[in-house]
Amino acid sequence: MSEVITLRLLEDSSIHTAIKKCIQCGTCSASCPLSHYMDYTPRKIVNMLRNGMYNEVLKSKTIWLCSTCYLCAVRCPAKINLGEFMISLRRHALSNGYNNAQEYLKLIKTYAEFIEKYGRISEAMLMINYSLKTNPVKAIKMIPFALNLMKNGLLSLRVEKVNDFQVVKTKT
Amino acid sequence: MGMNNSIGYYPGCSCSKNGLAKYYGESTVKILEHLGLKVSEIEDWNCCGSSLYRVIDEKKAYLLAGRNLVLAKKKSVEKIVVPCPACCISLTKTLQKIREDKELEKKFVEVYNTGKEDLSRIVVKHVVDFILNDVGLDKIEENVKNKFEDLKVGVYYGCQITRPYASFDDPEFPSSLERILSTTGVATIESAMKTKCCGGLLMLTNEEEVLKIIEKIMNSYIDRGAQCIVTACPLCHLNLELAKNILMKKYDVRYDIPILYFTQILGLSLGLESRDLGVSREDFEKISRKIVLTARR
Ligand code: SF4
Ligand code: SF4
Repeated sequence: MSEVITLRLLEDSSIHTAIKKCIQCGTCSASCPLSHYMDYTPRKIVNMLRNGMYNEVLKSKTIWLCSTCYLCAVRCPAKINLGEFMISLRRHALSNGYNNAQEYLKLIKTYAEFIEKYGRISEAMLMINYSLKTNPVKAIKMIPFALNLMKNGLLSLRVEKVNDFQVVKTKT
Repeated sequence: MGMNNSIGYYPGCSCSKNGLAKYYGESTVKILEHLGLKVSEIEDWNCCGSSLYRVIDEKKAYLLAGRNLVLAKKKSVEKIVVPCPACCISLTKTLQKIREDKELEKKFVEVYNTGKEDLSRIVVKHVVDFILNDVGLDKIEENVKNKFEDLKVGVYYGCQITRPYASFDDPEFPSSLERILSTTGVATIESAMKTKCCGGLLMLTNEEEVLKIIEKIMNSYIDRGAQCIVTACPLCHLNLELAKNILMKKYDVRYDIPILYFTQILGLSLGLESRDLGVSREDFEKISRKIVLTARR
C-alpha cells in the first residue's frame, strides 16, 4: 500500500480518532450484533490499524458487515464512533480499488446512479436493479413479495426527479 | 404551538409517495393534521444520501443532505420533522459537521451561499420525539376516540431512532413509543431486543445472517404473546415484512402477525379511517376486534 494512501487513511478524522483514543476494552466487539459473522472484531480492526495492517483491514469482511447500528458508539468508554469509522474504511477500500465486497459495491453503484440521475431513489427500483445485477434467481423468488406490495398499492416504479439539482456535479 | 408555520416535513425517499413506506409517511402527516398542526413538506427535497453515499464521496454526501437544510432555511423552517431514523441521522450529522468543519462550511457558502449561522436555528426531530415532546400526550389524549382493548403490541424501535445523536430517550432502553401508545389502550410488550438492529441494508447483501437476527427479534415478541409488532422506521418495517414472508414459508402461521407503523395504531385510535392510514384489510381485521369505542364527545 502506497504511503499516500496510508496518509490519507490516517488523516480521516473518524479513523484518526479511533486509532488515537481506543483503549482496546472490547466493548464494541461485545456489543456488535454482527461481530460473530466478521473475520476480525471491531476492536481488533482498530488494533490492526495501529500495527500498520492496512491491507488486511481494507480487505476484511468486517468493514462491509457493519450495519451502522451505533450500539458500539453509545457504549464506547472513549466515545469513539466505530459506525462512522467503518463507513470511512469502506470509502478508502472503494477508492483504492479493493473490490472484495462485490455485492455491496454493486448496491452502492446502483444507489449512486439513482441519486445522480434523479436526486431521489426508488427502493423498489433499487431492489429490482440490484437483484438483477447480482442474483437473478433471487430476483425471481422475490416475485410473490412484489405482488403483495402491488396488491397493497406499494409497488411504484416511478421516481420523482428533483429540480434544480446541481450538487452532484460539484467538484469536491 | 405558536409557531406552526415554521414546522417542515421531510419524508425522505422511503416514506414519500413512491416509497415502500409511503403509508408511514401518509399516516404521520394525517395524524399531525388531525391534531391541528400545520406541517409543510420541504419543497423539492432530495435523498439524504443515507450511509451509502458517504462511502462514495464524503463531502458531496454532506452537500447532498445539506441541500434539504438549505431549502428549509429558505422557507424559514426552524424545525424539521422526519419519520425515517436514517434520514434523521444524515440531516443531524450534516448540521453538526457544518458547525465543526470550517472547510465544509466554506463549501456550503460557495455552493449554496449559506453558512453555519444561517442554519444554526434549524432543529431536526424524529417524529416520535416530535409527537411525544412537542405535540404532547395531553393533546393526544384529548383527541383519542377509540381505545384498543387487550391488543398486545410488540414495540420495536430498531437501532437508529435513538442512536447515536438523538437525546430524547435512552439509546438502548427507550420508552417514548410505549408512552405514546399508552394513550391508545394497547398493552405494550417489552423485549430486551427492542433496539437490536434489524440488519438494515445488509438484508440485501447478507440475507442469511440478517434473517437469523430478525427471527430472534420476532420471537422475543411472539413468545410473549404479541399480536402485532409496531415499528417507527421504514427499513425495520420492510425487513420484518420480508423476513415474515420467508419465515411463514418455513413455520406457517406463527409469524403471521401484522407489522404496523406506530402511527397507524395511533391514527386508528384517533378515529382516522384504516384506508387513510394504509392499514391493509387483512391487518385491520386482525386488530380491529380489539377496538372498543369510548364515548364520543
Ligand atoms: S469500545 Fe471504544 S475503546 Fe473499547 S475497544 Fe471499542 S473502540 Fe476501543
Ligand atoms: S455500528 Fe457497526 S461495528 Fe458498531 S456495533 Fe453496530 S454493526 Fe457493530
